[in-house]
Amino acid sequence: MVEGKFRSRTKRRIFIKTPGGKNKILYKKRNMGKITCANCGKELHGMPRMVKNAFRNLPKTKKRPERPYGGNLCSKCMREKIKEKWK
Amino acid sequence: MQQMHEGKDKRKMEIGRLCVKLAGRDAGSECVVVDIIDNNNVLVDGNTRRKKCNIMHLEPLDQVLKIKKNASHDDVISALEKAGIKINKKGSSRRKETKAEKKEPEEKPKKAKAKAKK
Repeated sequence: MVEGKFRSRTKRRIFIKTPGGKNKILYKKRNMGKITCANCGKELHGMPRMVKNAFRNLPKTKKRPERPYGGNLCSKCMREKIKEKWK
Repeated sequence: MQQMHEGKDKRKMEIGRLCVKLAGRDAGSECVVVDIIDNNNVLVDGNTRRKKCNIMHLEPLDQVLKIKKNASHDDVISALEKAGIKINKKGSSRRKETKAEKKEPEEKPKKAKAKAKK
């Protein structure tokens, strides 16, 4: 039986075959969930989904699109917000 | 004048039209139409970089500034200041220098010395 901490499904399981021919299970952290637009809830493009620690080590320009509200609003909502500002 | 983007936006794009950019890293900053390239594209300058821009990526405003066709960056900025718009110095500084603005390097003194020796 596996250790108690691995018996829940909070961790991702990967089945591998060892060189000796045995089947083994690796336990890894799960990737981040979907990142969505704060206004309309649409999934955002240009945002990498990976393990959170690896995400932290990325440069800033690779974490979000480089425009105002990038990584928070989708491009459509961002345009509407700018138009409202100038009315 | 050419008819532009029919059915999408009835206001005509003309030289001097004040706009707000909607796309890319310059989004939300003001610019002026400096030249009209074709039915869909114009050349803009101002708080943005001096760039070719699709009309659909611009939101035209009511004001039209008095500038000449292909006006320089300095002329555009002085026209914007007259209209009472804040100039974003950060935006203008990250603009690349055009070839005409770059100073030509002075002649190398080595050649002059060589001539003097002869």
